[in-house]
Amino acid sequence: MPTAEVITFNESIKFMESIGKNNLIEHEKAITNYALEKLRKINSVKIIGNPKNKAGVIAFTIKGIHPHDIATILDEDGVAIRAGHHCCQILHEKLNLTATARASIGIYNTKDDIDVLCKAIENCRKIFDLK
Amino acid sequence: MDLKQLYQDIILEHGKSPRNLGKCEGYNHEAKGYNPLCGDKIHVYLKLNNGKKVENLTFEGEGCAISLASASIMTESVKGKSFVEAIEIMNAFLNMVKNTSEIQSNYLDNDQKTKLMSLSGVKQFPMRVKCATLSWHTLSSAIEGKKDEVNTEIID
Repeated sequence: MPTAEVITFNESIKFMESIGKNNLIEHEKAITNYALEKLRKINSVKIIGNPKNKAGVIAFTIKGIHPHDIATILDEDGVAIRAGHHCCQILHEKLNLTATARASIGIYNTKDDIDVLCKAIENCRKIFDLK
Repeated sequence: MDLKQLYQDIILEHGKSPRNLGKCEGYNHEAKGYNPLCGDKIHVYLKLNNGKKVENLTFEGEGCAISLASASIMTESVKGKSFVEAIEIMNAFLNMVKNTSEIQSNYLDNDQKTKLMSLSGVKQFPMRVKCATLSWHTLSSAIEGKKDEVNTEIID
């Protein structure tokens, strides 16, 4: 019986309900849009997927740097992202992508977090000597 | 943890421009390796001559800077060595990347040792050790003539 998980889940629901569904959605949208706006300005960053209603999940690539390397360097700058196939190898094959990096946005993220993410990406590009 | 230790110039250079890329002519051993967690893929081509010497060693692959650099430096270090020397170098590298700080081998010149040791920084980044060892396990598989693809989630 996953007792700790059940108790945590209960607390998570209480936490989310205390903020309110609309506030959660608004916040996620605002930070996501801010992130997309800033990321699109960085040379060699490509956002994968451009649906009309985009949730706070941003898959991206940086030309010339493998996502695994991006993740390691960002990690050192205190930014946690995921790298790999994100359980969708088939989609990656279809899009002809070796792998992607993925930044996810939650209620606990702020615009400052996005600024740090972008700065860390610039650091990454500097290490790999990208123009 | 120092990123500079991991992404040294040698690694960035070999990662961007890997040496011995492609399918060498007359290869008689080959093997594939794959890291399903991040998508690193490698195909090693080996030509052992009648005297069991590594006449040629090349690879094709896609992946992170660490995996490509490791494969590139591997081909430079093992090409031209005898079968026995190649195995010794392989074991020395795997040992260094996981345990020791210096590579202990009788069959490498100083330049080759320096290049291989540039990968020792991977010890501080445990998640990346498999990136560095993939090509070497694949080479081992090629030498042994194994049919199955090397999978980093199954090997050590």
